[in-house]
Amino acid sequence: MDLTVPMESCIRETLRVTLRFRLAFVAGFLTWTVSGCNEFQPQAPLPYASDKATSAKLADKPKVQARVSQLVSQLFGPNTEELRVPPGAPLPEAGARIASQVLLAEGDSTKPGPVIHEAGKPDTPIRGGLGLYREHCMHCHGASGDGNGPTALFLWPRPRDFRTGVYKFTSTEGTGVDSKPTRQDLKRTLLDGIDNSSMSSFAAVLTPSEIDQVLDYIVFLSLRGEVETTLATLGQDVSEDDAETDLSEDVAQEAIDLVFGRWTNAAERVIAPPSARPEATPESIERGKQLYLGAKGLQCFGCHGLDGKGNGESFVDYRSFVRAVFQGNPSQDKIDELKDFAEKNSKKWADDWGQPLRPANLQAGRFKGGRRPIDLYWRVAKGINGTPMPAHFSSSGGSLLTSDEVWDVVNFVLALPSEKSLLEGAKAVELAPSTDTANNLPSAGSPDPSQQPAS
Amino acid sequence: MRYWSLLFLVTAALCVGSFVYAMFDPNWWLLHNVSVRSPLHFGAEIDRLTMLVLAITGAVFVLTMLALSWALWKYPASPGRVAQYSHGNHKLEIVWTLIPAVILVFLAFYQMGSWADIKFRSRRPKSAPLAQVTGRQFNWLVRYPGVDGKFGTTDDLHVINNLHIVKDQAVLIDLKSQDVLHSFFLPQIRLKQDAVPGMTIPVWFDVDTPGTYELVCAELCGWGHYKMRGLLTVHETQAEFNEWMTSALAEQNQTQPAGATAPDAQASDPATTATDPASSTVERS
Repeated sequence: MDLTVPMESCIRETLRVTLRFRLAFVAGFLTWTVSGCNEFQPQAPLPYASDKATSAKLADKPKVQARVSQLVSQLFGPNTEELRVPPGAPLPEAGARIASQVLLAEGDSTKPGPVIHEAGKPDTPIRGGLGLYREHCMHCHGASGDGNGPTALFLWPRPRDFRTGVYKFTSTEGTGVDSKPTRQDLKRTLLDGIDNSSMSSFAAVLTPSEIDQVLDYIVFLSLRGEVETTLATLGQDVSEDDAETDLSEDVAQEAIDLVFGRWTNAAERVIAPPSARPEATPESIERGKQLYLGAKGLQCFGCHGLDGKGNGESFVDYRSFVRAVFQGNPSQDKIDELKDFAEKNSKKWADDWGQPLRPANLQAGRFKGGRRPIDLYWRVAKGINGTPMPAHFSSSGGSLLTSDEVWDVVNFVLALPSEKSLLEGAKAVELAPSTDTANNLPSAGSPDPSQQPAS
Repeated sequence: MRYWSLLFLVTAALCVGSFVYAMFDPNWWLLHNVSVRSPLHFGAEIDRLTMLVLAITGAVFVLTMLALSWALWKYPASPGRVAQYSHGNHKLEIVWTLIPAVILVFLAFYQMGSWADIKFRSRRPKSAPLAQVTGRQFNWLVRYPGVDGKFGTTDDLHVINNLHIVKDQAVLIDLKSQDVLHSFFLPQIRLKQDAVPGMTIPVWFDVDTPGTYELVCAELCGWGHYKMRGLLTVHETQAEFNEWMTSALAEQNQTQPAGATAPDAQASDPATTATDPASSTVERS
């Protein structure tokens, strides 16, 4: 009888609490949403990550280092979102496609660059390379192009660091930074991807115009990085007190000229094979096989293995590689451990980016730099930039005297995936003393010191 | 508080309304189906089954929501009303178990013919496979057998994210995966098949309209899953397809940089003769 009254008040109490709770819930939810959104918006534009190798050069010279970054930010913009294009940059449309809005130098100041529109759509401005790069490339290649984005750790081979300006698969003369990719080379990588790596094809993801914009931006990242490296190298000879005077704007201009010069004439330095590809006859393939196995001092099998599976003895064995790289996280400690192991066993272990590398399994028929005969010709004749794969044609410093010999190797490599018996029970070719001496001359230019003739 | 029932009624009406609206708006409805008038017309078959299931589930949904709203309206909470104990109703329970069971069994048998046509290996076209499609993180690698009709020879054509077929021709594809699970999905043909590492799975279909369609991965395969997008190009005639194949093979067999012409045979002759003595000096073990 008495029970009903406290019960009802109790219910009212609950209702009031519920109402207050609801209000608090709504308020809390709103605060959370608003603050949560803010968390994902960077407070300031991302700065460029400093290149470890570059800053190590100037580790004991803070003033010179500051001067270098000042010059670079004057030339290319202070952060990854405010982009400036120095005059004379080897980019189409004066670099205006690298972002929706760029700044161009005008005398001592800058002016906004032109806004480019999509072809045939005068009302639609292009998105620009920066925006597209952030959507599709940044998660691996990083906001600064340092190949160190959030997903980079999951990948092997690791994404390219564009700042060094070294591109693996190029068609031009030279090595390292001197062998620049042509527009065609870069476009091919973007359209076909890189087989055997995580670089995927963007042919069906981006439009042709967008591909051009992304390429412009990637070249921009390289230009910036190379100028920074060049200035840092020059800065090594500059004393702390003379940082301002010795690293003047004229010096910066010289660095710019040097770097831009490498890019501008890339198209003229494309290697054209001096002879046409001979037909892949069994004889040609057999000659290629003998070259592969060490005739004329080539040491293909030293890395790619006597059976072509990429397991040659001069590389860190598979088990150690997997243990160091894939078991646990591929941290710097693990990589250093692997490096020590490789050095102790006098083995080559890494490419120019400091990453342990696996030579290609030629039996798999998956060619990173492309499977066209011309692609393989370039790989064999001039090597792969930044990796232990050396040039083999005499004009690029290798030991093969004629381009027909290069073609023989190409024919052999192209035939191997479908004729796996080619290398069954193969043994390294032992060079007779007479051919050995004859061989000394061309192989002296071989960039790889460990390429001793087998004996 | 009987007005709560109206909320349920309105929600149900909105759900049904959105479906009715979607049917008349091509941007809301399924992608345009291009496997309707072709000999195999799997797309039409799948859409027919989808619509049947939608009609049955739609009708059940409407009836259930009406019953729910009616019950909420009829029996609202009121002070002093005593709850009534019920041990359930056997007849009613048997009815509402049997009706869905019958519907499910009917659907299971009714779709068997279509499933067999689309998935049973015994029904696959007796022709040789047109291409091998291999999923890898994060591309579709397409390999045509080339002139000799055999895979794994030097004349194979390798293309990436690019599958070409001919209109109205039944196409047989060998589906593989190099790394993880992928799913070969042609939304405009209503065809979906998982690619499993270590297995070669036959997939067959045809298309009634020439054009370019999407080929996407429909199984989350890693962080780059969304980039795994290719194009299916359907040619009007075999001749057009052959023309594409010829140009793709020419591209793959390129032996000179773009724009450069091959040195003519005359020029390369001295080089060839120069090689001969050199190669004869090679000692073979």
